[in-house]
Amino acid sequence: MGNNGASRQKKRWQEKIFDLFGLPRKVLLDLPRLVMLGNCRLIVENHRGLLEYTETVIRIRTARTELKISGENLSLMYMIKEEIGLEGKFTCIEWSGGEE
Amino acid sequence: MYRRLADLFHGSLVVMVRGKKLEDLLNKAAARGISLWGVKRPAPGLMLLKIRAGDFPFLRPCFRESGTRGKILRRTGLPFVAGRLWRRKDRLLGLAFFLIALQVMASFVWFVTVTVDGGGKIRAEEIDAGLRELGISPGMMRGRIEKNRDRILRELAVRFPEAAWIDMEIRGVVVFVTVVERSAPPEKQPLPVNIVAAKAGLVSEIIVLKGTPVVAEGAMVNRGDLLILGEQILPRLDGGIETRRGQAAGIVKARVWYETRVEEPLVTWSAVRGPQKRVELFLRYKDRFLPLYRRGEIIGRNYLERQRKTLYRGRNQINLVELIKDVYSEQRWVKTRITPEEALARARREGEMKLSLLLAPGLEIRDRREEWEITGDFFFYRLVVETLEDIARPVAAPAENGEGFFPREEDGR
Repeated sequence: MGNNGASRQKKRWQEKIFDLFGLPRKVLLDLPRLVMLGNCRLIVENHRGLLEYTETVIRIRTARTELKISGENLSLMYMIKEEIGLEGKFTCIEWSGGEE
Repeated sequence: MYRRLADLFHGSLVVMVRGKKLEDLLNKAAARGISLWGVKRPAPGLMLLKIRAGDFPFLRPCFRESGTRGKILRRTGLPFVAGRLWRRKDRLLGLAFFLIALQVMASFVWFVTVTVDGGGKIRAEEIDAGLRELGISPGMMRGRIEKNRDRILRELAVRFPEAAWIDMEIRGVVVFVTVVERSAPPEKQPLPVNIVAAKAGLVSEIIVLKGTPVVAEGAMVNRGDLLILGEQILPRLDGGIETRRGQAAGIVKARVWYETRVEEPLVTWSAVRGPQKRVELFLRYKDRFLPLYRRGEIIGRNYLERQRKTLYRGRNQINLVELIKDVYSEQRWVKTRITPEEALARARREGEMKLSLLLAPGLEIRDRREEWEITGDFFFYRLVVETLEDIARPVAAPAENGEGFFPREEDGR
């Protein structure tokens, strides 16, 4: 619990410093970046790995949260260390767990 | 596009993975820097993915760590094709033979296509036959045709003068020959032409090549008179005649006379120097004249003769100083009378000169007559020469309605 509180405090300080200098948060805060083309193609940058991969649900871990993509005929176009490319018919994208 | 080309060049594998923690395998592979694409899950516990051929050894530990099993389903790309070919030398040989045969076959011409554009004077079969005679036929080497292209086109142009433009193009194994026929302009109807007299003379001979003569031998004609009419009179079977306008042609020889007159005075006045003389000597420096010497006097008209003597140039480069000697001589006019023989000689010379301006070069003089008489102090000379020459001159005939130019006014002499 104490460790968790310390990390939250550290995060707040980081955000304050970034806001003070006008730096983009995504650069240093490891925030995921999603690029979506219509509802058929999605590119997730800055991921932390794949949690679940089926034709209807794909779950991706990010720095602080978890991204859940639901749809039909979902497939993994490509996967590299920094980026995941998905295609299929997306119906829902939701963030779950953790806080941003 | 680049990625696909790179995969083709490096070679790629389709790997089938079985196991429970398939997502774990993907995460571990990505963490090791292995690129994965085309990831599909056709059934639970089964996954198909593509990786580069060189990444497979790095994927093996991931199988072990994630508790999955992998199997290569298919190998694609250049390294595998080359490997297969290398193992099967006969295939490699066949491929090489196929490529060489393709190259050899492509160096020959297998089809000749002739296109003729025009009114049908030239037939494509004729061109085809001409091409065959010139050596252009299926089975000939392309290089030889390309080398002789200009010569073949020249030969075709000579053989088919009705063609305005001929072109030959080789595309692949086909020779395309295009011929465009010449379309001649409509023929012009020749304008009717009459023959008129270029000079006045006495007609001595008339040869009619075309047309109707309107003068006879022995007739005296003036310049511009009609000699041969540009009309042809043709008898008809029913007894009537038919007149057809055309271009007259013929030779009309006539005796032509040329006359020149010369008046030569027998008495002339000429200037001679008299005994009186005056001599003046000046020295000029720049524009100043310094008189040095003067002798003699002249009354009345005189004649001046100036002599200039420039001093030594060595010290007088710009001609600053010179010595001028003026000699004034008395001028007297005296009356001189020349003899009739001398006057005749002078008149003949002048008459010949005038005649040479009248006669055309190369004209033969048939007769020459001279007459002269002395009237007072003048010698009158007359020279008449006779030539025989063709005086026929074609001119456009006036239009039938009477309009047109009159040839007498048109020509000049």
